[in-house]
Amino acid sequence: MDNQQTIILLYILFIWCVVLHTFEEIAQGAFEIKIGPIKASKGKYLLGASAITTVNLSTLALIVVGNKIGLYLGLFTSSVIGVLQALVHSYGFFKEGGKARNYGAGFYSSIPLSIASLVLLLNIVKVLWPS
Amino acid sequence: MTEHFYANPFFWAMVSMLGMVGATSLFSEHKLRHSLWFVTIVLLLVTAGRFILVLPFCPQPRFDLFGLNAIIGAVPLLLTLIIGAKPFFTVKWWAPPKKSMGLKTTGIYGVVRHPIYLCELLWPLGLAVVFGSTYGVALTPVWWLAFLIHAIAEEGALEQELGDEYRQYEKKVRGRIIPGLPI
Repeated sequence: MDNQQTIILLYILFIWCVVLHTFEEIAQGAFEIKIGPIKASKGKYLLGASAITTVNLSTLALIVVGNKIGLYLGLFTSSVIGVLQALVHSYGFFKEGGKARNYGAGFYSSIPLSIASLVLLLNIVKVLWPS
Repeated sequence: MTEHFYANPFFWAMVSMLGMVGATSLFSEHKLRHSLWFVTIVLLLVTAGRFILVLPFCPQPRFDLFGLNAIIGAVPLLLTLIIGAKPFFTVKWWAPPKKSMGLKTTGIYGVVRHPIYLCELLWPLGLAVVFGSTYGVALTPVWWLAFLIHAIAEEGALEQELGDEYRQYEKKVRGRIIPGLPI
């Protein structure tokens, strides 16, 4: 299996984890999150979730054709949607006293998501900057 | 490696997902939701993308189920016909919800609240199995999420139009897209 095929497979795994994570967030009422004066609405959350899936599929389309922009986009999505969000959910989970609500909503599925995205991130880095 | 965009399965997946974003926006207050052209284009994108990505001219890993792909894939396709035929012809599924449309709670609607969306998961899966399309099967959870998001947005509009009648129905029939499950 070459590097490109590995990244495609890892990206599909990453998308599955994002789907699972969104299911968990929806089940735990992530629509209700309040961040200071900003209050997330149901409409904005649903639009955001759809937009993230569209960006992921576009990234994958670019990776399949061997376009480097796809790899750079993958670097961004795997680090922000994958690794960074896991840190935010972990912070929220412990701030809420071990409860999956507010920032902590989606904590459990953020663990496999962060692992999948970290592996993807490392593979993309390996292809972009071979040592 | 795929060289042409029209042979890129994920390009077609993206086209379908863009269509889904447009379809979900139909439940906003935007005037576009009353445009037949917009609704038609959205429907074309959503359907065509998922249909094309499994076809043989889109290079991808293919699987063979002991030569039984057509028979195994026909099961979800048949289920689509059985579940979806009546709602497809009796409900104005393409139009934004209105109080005058009334609420259907019998038949398949007594088992699952969005039977047409269940069909929207079944037919691409069946087609993907028939053509042995690995990416087609792998993308099924993505369509599930996309239609779940669409269903949640639609239910917001239905609650606004039908009020308590719809909330009672939601309590009675738990299955949103998958029977018995709130997802």
